[in-house]
Amino acid sequence: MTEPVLTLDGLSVRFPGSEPAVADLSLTVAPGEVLSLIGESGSGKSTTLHAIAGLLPPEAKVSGDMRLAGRDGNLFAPDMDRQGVAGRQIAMIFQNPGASLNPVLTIGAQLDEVVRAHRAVSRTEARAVTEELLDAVGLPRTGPQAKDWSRAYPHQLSGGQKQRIAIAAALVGDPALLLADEPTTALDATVQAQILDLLLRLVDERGIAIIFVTHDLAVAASIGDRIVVLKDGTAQEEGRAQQIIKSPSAAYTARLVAASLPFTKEAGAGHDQMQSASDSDALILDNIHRSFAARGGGRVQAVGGVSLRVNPGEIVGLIGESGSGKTTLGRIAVGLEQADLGRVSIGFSPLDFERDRQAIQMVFQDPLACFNPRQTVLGAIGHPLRCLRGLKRAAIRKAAYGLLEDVGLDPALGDRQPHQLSGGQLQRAAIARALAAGPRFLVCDEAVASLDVSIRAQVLELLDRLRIRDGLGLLFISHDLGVVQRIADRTVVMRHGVEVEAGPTAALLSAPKQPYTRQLLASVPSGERPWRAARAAVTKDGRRPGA
Amino acid sequence: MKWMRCHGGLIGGLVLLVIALIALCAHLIAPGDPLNMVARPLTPPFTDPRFPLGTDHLGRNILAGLVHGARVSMTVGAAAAAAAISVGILVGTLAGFSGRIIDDALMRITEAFQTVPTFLLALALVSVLGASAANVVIAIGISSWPPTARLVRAEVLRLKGADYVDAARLAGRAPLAIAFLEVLPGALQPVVALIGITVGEAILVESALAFLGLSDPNLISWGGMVANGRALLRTAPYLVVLPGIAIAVAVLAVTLSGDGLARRLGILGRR
Repeated sequence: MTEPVLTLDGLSVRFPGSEPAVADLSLTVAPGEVLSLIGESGSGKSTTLHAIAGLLPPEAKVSGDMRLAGRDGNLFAPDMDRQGVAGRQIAMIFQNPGASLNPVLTIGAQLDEVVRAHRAVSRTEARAVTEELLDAVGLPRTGPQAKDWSRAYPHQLSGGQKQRIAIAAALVGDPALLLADEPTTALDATVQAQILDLLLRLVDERGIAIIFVTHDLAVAASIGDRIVVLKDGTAQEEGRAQQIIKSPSAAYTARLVAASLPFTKEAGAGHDQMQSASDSDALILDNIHRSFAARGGGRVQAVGGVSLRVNPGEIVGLIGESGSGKTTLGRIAVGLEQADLGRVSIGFSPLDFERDRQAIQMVFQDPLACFNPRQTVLGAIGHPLRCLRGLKRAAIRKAAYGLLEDVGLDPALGDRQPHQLSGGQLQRAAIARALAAGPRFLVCDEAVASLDVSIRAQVLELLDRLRIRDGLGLLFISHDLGVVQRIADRTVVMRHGVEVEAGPTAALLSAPKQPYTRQLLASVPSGERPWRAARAAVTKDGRRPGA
Repeated sequence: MKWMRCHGGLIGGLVLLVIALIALCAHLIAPGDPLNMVARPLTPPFTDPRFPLGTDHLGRNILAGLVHGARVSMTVGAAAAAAAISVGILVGTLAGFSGRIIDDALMRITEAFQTVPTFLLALALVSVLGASAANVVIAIGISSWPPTARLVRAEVLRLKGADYVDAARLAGRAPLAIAFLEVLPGALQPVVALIGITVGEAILVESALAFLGLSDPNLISWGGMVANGRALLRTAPYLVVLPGIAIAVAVLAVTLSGDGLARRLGILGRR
């Protein structure tokens, strides 16, 4: 084995006045190796990355031993000179690449600046290096996708393209180690696949080592040679990626693996088809159109003629990438948005949202954003009880307590402010508020996307229980195929505002008919068929993993 | 610098409290009318124990002037800022909640006010209305509301699209309840950050108006004291320096405490 690029020994990080964020963590990364660091929020994975990069705030107490190849001494020692470490030997990319780009400068100007900061070159030479780097990250000036990318401004680029620019900037210093902090979390599945491919290509071609931080086990296993599982700042388990997801040895990892719902070709849909209900009580969206005024005149069509039906007691999954119009459709279904054309009805009567507000409710993606920070949770749950059900003071309190218990929350939590609850607790409270209206249908807009996997499983369970017990019909909007596969009876795939394909979930996901659906399914990191191996097989001179 | 950011609010608040106490107890500290001639003119400071800060060219007690002037400066400043912020909140709320036409109209009016420098507008208004304390308050109020209006409108527009407002709509709350109970409390919070600046500016404008002789002639004020002393700047600089220091300290204290309050509430960045 070659000398490791990075050796961490006994890293501990502590912020004043709190428990240690990272405790006694040791890890090594070899050249050309990808190490996935996985954990739920608060596990200390980002803190570890920031400690390595030297980006922690000064009040953080860091102890331990960090060695870089080709450098003497412990880089965590207080008087250690870190000059030339961050940016040269170690580079970093982040979850939100747009935040590090200056909106008023062209990409070329910004990359030139980075190049000139690292190398003593003239402007024209710098531009040549910039072009080279853009080419390396898949934004070539010649070829089929040619475009003069260096003249583009950040707002003209998509999220994936911005992440490529960030990677290009990271490559300038010819780093031996790339720190990647959830670089694909904010991206759509197909774009995520491309970025992961790019990172693996850089590993193969340049022998860069990567520490890849993610909360997504499937992504971690797809890109990583090895995985380190973190919880509460301590390593629970470390081992080869395949071994960890197939036969985890630590109890926590086993729970994580069980709770992560990777999309698989084999697994069938969750439950049996419900009795097909008559039209008279189904939620029917009929030929919905909606367009918005675009910036600089003209109109952008968000939804262009989608019809959809949700039966009572049925969960309909609505999947699509960002910009597919799925959120707009959900908002039209609950009356937060008006359709330009088409109608929303329950049974045969069109919904009048002024009168029938309680029939259909919504659970939002970000539980913290959907509660007024200046009201208690109980107060928020009280609104629908008072406004839609016409209850009085004492009855409201009693009903709200009942609802909190119903969703598995301690009623005492109701008197707290939203920010005093965890994400999972708050999402349960959001479901309780939606239920308070006494709805027949619930629209869940990415309702579990912001939750940690173990909490996500509990919320999904809760939704499923409500479906069975109350005969609630759910329109489940999600970008996560693994979740939709487990929970939805039927699934609708949307793209560019129109329906691509619809059908029973099991049939649709195991045998997609449309090319777009197939592409969507292929881009999901399954974790079970590592991309690295797949990539190495197709690259002529690519090194095989673990070679 | 860091120490100042942590403790500036506390120090500002304490100084402000002292000034307020002095203003409240002005008649106890320096009884009688501060405009009365009480001693030999131009007594230098720290020479006569009865008049520790000396007297001006008409033999008026400077300490009494400063103490009573605090009363005028602080009340006029606070009242004017309160007027400006109230008008700003009203206009901003109306613009934020109403439709395109009213919003556009109100914003154009706001911009029209903003294009005229605050001080010039206040000056013009006082010249027209006449120099009295009430008119100075009105003039400053009318000329310094636009920043508050723009801030409130922007916040209302931002919060109108917030998830929790959508959730309130789904919960069946009435539009007025959503506007006043869900959106407005959040939109008003950042106004706290403007209070310090607005009050500070109001005190400055009041002093400047008084300097130009456009304040109530029967009330002593810091700006007026500077104006009176400027002819004797060479022979008795303390006539200008002492009230000048008073103005600077008061404005600094107000700004610092406003800043500290905003930080405490988490509106500005912590530390």
